[in-house]
Amino acid sequence: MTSTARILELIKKDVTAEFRNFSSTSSVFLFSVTVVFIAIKSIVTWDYALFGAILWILVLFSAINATSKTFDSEGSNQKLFYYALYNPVEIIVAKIIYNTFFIFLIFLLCYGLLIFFTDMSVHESFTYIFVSLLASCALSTINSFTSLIAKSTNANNSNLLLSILALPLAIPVLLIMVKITKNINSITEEISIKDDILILSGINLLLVGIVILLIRELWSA
Amino acid sequence: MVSLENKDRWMHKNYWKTLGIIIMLYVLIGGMTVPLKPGLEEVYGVNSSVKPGEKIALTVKGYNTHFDIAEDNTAFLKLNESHFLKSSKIVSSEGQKLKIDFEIPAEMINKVGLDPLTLVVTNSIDGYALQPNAVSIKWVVLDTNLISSNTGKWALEMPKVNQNSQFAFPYRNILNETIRNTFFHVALWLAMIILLLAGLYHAVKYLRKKELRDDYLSASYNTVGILYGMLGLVTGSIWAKHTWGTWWTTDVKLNMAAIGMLIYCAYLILRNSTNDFERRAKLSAGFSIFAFVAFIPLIFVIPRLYDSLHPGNGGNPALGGEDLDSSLRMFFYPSIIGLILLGVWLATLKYRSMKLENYLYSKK
Repeated sequence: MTSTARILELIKKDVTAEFRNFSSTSSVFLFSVTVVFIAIKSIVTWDYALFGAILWILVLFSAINATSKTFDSEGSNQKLFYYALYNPVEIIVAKIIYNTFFIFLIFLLCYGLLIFFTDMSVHESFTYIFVSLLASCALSTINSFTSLIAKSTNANNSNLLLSILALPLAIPVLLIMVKITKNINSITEEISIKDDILILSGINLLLVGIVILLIRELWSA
Repeated sequence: MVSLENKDRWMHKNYWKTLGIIIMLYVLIGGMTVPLKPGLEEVYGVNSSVKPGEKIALTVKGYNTHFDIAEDNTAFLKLNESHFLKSSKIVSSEGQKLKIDFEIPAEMINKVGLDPLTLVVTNSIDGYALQPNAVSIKWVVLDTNLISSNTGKWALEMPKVNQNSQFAFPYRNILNETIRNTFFHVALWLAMIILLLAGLYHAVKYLRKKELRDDYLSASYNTVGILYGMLGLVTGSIWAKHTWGTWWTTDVKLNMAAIGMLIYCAYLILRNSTNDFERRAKLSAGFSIFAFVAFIPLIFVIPRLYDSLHPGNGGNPALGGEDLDSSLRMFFYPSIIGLILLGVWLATLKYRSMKLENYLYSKK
């Protein structure tokens, strides 16, 4: 089997596991919907800076909730099993891809609900959704990597440790997304978001590259 | 007893620690006591712009100047390399103040718009003091007849300027005495980068060779790097209070630096979350490489792409240019070296204490 096929197999396994244990997945979605609702009910006047900030903070926290269980099911026996069958790079790439789509789904849900309830229309929505996919990928890389580290410490409070490790790393991605949300909808002047997209892609490449470099060393920890 | 490895012997030598202390004492004493060059603290009495042909009366307040004692106070305005205007009258008054009158010549330049004028005050005791953009001259529509007749009023050569050979730091408006913070704030950040690089080097070395010595060294360098980063934020905040008027701004460079520090604080928490030495070493080495890679774009790349008040961004000059003159360099470069030496010293102390801790733990 080629590496790609093995990665696909791992993703398939994750999706199946997610559906078998649907209560935890739905709890993440319920969390997002609840917080969107609180935000909509408590904020009266919306502008695009606020819209971007609320949307991405929501996505970030739901993403941390969702990805904290990335390596949950992997007990030590299963880890050994993985170790025999797969290359660690394949495992982490599969996790990153799977989490990217999961976070992207959360984003689409929050985005759709916010647009539905607040009546704010986002210009160039296709560009925006593409950029959001990039941001989801960055968040997913950060979360997958830090959740591996947090789980590997075998500490009791590994979910707390995951938030502590992941949140500061995610701030730049969030700041860029808030800026893009604001600028893409700017009515008064044309502001190019090309630079921001380039920075985001750069951050993605850097993070994925360093994770692939480091995973061999950390996997055995 | 914990055995002393051969490659750790340099940590027990005293010469480089002494050198660090001497350098820092030199920077502290010299950097805090060398006076500033005379400068013009404030210029009042003028709206932002004057029209050709007007008379203006300026009052300037000097800083570190001797306007009251000096007999030969002179002042002139500089338009460009070939146009100067001497004052028509100059009187010194209480509290290092000078009252200076100028008569701006009528139209002579074929343009419409604003041109800044630099005010230069000179006497034999202080040398010279200047204020760029003291006044702006507002050219209005040109009357061609006036050109030939009025050119004469502008002096075409620079009036004599006294030089002052006293060793002093340059005077900059707004910065004033806080220019000395260059030796601490800027040097702390540079020393922090060097220490974090040393931490990175040992983290990589740990992952390659799996020796606990490298893990301890990496953790020690990173800890001292974080300490320096915190001190850099504090000194920067104090500086911001005196120059920008607030402790903290929404400026991108400040916030990115703070986020970088948060990432490294997470590193410290990670290290404390497990007691297994090998596992802790492996995980924290991995995270510190990740953190460093995430830290570099935060403080070097992203701030350059946004508008920023902070020097080094958005077209503001950073190091070099006329802001870092030779008198500042005499303390700035030693300060970096001294801080690095002190930081390495602190890191070796931390390293030795961690080694002892490990020894006691294994004895238990």
